[in-house]
Amino acid sequence: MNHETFTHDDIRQILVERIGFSEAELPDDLDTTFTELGMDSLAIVELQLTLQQDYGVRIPDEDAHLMTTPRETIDYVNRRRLVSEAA
Amino acid sequence: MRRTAITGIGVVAPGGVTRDEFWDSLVAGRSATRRITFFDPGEFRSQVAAECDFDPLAAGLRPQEVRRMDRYVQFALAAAIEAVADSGLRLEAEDRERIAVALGSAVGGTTLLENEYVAVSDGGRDWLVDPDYVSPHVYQALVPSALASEVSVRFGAQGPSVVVSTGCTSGIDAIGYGHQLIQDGEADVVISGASESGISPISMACFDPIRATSARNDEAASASRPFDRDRDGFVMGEGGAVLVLEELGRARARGAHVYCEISGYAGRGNAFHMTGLRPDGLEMSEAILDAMRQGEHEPADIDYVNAHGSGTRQNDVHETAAIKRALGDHAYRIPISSIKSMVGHSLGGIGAIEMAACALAIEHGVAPPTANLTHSDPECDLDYTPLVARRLPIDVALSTGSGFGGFQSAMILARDGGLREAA
Amino acid sequence: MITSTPRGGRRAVISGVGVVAPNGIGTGPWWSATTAGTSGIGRITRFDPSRYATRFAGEVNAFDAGDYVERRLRMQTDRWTWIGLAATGMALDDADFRPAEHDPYSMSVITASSSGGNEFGQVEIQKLWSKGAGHVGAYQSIAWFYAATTGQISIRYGMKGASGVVVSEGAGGLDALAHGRRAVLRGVDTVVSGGVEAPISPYALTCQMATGRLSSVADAAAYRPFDERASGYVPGEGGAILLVEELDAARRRGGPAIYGEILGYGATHDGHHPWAPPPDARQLARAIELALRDARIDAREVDVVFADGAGSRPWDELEAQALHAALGAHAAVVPVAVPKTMTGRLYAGGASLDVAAALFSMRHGVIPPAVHVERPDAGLGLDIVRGASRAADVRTALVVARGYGGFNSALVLRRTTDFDRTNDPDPED
Repeated sequence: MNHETFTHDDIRQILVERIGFSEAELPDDLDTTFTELGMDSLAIVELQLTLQQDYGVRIPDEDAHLMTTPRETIDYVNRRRLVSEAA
Repeated sequence: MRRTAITGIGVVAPGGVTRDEFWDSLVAGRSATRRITFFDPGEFRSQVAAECDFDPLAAGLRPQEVRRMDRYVQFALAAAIEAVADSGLRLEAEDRERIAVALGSAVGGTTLLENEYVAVSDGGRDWLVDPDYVSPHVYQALVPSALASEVSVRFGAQGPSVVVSTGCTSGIDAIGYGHQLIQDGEADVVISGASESGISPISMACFDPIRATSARNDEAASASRPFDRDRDGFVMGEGGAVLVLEELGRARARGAHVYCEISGYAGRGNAFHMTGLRPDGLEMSEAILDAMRQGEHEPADIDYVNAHGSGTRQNDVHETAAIKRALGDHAYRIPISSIKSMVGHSLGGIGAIEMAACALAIEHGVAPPTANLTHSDPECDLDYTPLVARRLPIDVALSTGSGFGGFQSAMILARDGGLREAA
Repeated sequence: MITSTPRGGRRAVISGVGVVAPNGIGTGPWWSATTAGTSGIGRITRFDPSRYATRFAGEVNAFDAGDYVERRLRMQTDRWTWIGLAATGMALDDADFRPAEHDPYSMSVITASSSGGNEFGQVEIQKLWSKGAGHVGAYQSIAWFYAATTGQISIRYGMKGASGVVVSEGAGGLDALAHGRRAVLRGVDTVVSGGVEAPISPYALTCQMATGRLSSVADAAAYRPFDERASGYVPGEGGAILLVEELDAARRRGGPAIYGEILGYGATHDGHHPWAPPPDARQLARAIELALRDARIDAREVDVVFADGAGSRPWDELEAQALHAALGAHAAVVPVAVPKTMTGRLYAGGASLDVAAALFSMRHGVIPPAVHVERPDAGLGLDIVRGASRAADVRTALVVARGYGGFNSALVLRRTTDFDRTNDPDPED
């Protein structure tokens, strides 16, 4: 299990490599919603899949809507990691 | 202008692998969804499907056909054999050059394609797959035109032959294509319908991430719940149906039993998103209105609507709006149902299965129910015929379809001699 | 108002052409290369082909998807769709047609498809089987299936008319155009039609090789239809998107000169065997005869034939027989063009690209050569244009296409410039 904190660099990397953002499109404001960033429903799913596949964070159906911004996503991932480490 | 009659119907569906078994199952409101048995679904989010208990040899296929044809082609061939027999046409006495084939499928030979992939890639290890181990029939799985060529070959049909592959509207669109061939004089008989057999790991896997399919794995029989308050997605299905389309004048001349005629067919695209739907149902309503104009139908003429009703949260809202927009107040006065509640969603195949259900609904004067509709959703406030089939005269039936890629289609069937004798 | 009921008097013309081909991206480079006899077939570079018996293909190596498709959409789509979007943009530019200025319901997208999103699909299925179900991406459900390119084109350009996807393997390009014509006759003013293919990835190639129809001769010149040394064909990627418009609608909007009219069409099926050749060429000949009859022309009016060119026996012989049966004495003297010798067979893109070549030969008065056909089989009795382009006044072209499994289609195109009405149907009919 990766003990490092999930950071905004991690999310920026996902946006570039999996969603197709260019560097210029990356948000400075982490509270910008993914919708405002032009991500459609499939892109948001792809982001969450990356979290599951590459970062080992399982996202139950009922939590999917909790990550509407980069900041919410970072917070969610780090909370889930604390939970799984404690388990 | 030439008109299109339906003179034969064949069906292979979950819960009924012949036309009569299928119809009986629909009328009884029986669900055919269950936990997937074709492979171990344990690692998938959606573990339920509507599978056909299908014996190809019993359905009239030969061993070499079973060997080389992917399952979805087998369904279509079996349904075509039944439909042609039902039509009473003796093909050996017909001009084969005037018999066309127009069949639909959304994902084609995905089952065979996946099985072969596993073998040649050493279970997904190798990108540079090994050609030595591949089946000699795998190309027919890669390119879905085999669906049409196999049926053309089986019946010696030498008229135009084509596969229509417009995602989940393939079924309606293939029959619409056949209808246009008859209208334009390119064929006198069209063996037309659609088929799909996509209950395989890659197909299930691609719907899981976008949560399009139901995860109600503990209650498989009630997982497909179109228009219900608690619906959570569609249930993958498989199956096929074939109709014999025939130019109306010659069908009557030979004394054929005419189930009904196709009085209108239209398609539109939402040009919006590959999977998303806007809640206003605008483009689907435009397709319905176009089909109605062709048949010179007023909303009040429609007696029954067979909805796309996939059971996703967004579809059922979209479709409710579309039906209301097209039919106005009349939408509230007629039974509407989704048979996907019972036979699941067989992607490219279901449109044809639903057209078969509409033709049979007209024939028998029964609207099949929407199974599992136990709690209505206020956003889907039309009469969706919950749980119990409804007996009523049905002269005109409307069927709607909607699919990935934004395709929206509508087809209207009308009882022969019912409303349009003025033509 | 669009009623989808066929209305008399409407005619389907082609006003825009977009090409992505192994020997040229864009109609300018492609036509220059085609008339010069420059082939785009070479050893496969997309992956190491050494374990495969077929190691040559027509790749579009210079294609940079980034020029046509924004990165986010590229992540969601297969190369096949990138090529389709690129060619569509080119066709619209060529016709000076701006979709935003038109009623969305007056525009449709009806294209041919054959093998779908091959490379994207292989990536995803590999993830499934090597890592597990949770590793399949969000885009697999929209990238691989046969309608993906049509759907994406309709979304990009806001086209809400009745759209379609037609699959008949190599005959699809003609069947899609014919279905586009049906839409035009029924009230749609504009149809994005034609087709493209991207079949060069390991699993897709493996599937194609299973037919036994691909050449395993290790030579870029291996694909030699109608040649004594015919040994099979070579696959290629790319194709053409053609903008079909209703004639009067095209005239009203005042676009640039149109290329030509879809004058006639015929389609048949051998109805014989799922893959084996038919005992005779009767049904292919009949497809041609139907097209001529639909066009109301005599065989002698055909100025050039763009052949299907299977590249193997007995398929080449059957095509020659069909041409002789359908065109009579004219078959021995009409020029036969096989520009796909420079690209390979492009499946859904193949007949579409042949239509583009036919239109350009009409416009420029030049018939492109077949390449590598140095020893044409004299017994076939055909005048294959070889070696160098041939100047010719091409007013009427016949395009022939076959699809694996027995599909036969034929299309007659008539040069129509400056909206001349000399092709108007006889009012007596």
